[in-house]
Amino acid sequence: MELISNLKELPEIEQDILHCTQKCVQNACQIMCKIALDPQKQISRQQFVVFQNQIRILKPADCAFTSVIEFLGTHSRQGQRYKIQGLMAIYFPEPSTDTLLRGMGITGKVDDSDIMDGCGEILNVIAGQFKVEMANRGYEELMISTPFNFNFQIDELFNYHKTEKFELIYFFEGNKLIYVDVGVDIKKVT
Amino acid sequence: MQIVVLDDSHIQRRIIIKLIREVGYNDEIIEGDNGREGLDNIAKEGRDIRLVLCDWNMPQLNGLQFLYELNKIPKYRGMPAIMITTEGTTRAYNEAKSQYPYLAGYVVKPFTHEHLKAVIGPYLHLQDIKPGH
Repeated sequence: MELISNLKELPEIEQDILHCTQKCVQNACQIMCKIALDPQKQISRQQFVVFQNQIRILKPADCAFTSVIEFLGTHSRQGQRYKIQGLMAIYFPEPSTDTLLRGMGITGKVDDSDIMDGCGEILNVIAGQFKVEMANRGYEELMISTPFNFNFQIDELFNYHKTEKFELIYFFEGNKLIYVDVGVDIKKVT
Repeated sequence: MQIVVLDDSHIQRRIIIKLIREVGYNDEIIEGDNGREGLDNIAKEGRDIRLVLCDWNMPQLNGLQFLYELNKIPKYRGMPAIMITTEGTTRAYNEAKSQYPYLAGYVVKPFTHEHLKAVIGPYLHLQDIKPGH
């Protein structure tokens, strides 16, 4: 694991993707869940687990729920065209789901299907905002898949070729609230 | 007169319905997790509708397809609808507005509860609201 302290050290497209991700996570938490994230966060570069040339999404040990979306688009920069393919996975530690759902205004009894649905909707909103933010930065409109939601250790495999991911960990009142994995594969289009 | 709430997230529907109740609407609400289910449930109830609140991206029949189909039914032609969606680009808004001219509001997720209540409030308090107005 390599900790990243300054996004400016990354290539420009990756910088844009991570800046947009951060803004969208913060907005979703603040507007949708009424949670002001701690200023402290952790960004690192890691390897995905690869199985038979495909990516395996493995949730961190302390997380109970996972939502995943895939995105695809193209972008032109300085006369060069790029294909951008990626995925965003969000992992929710069990105690944080209660905080998030209560912030959304859900009171009373909730079961696993409510929590999974709520987690999926949070990622859905983050992904929707991500598309808008990227478009505001001059990217062509990304296509975004509907979220896949899981509450078990995932055996689901994603047909995605780059093995590297960025992991962003957000905190609320000193506790881990959300883990966000962003994997992005940028290829020059000839 | 009933209100229709369609969203494939049941948590999101729960939040929207809670806000509708907070604004003071006490009549029945027709729910559905996609446009197909919405049309079926509206047909089953057969009552007048005051307002439609629907998500855009839903399985089977999405929000715009649902509004298109609903508008084909003479009784519900020109029904005011508020789209509540993650589709936040100007292109998406223009597409929705051009495909369903009776769109009364367009709320991009995430929304604050106060914002949604302000958008739906006027439609819940008009006793004599008529389709197409």
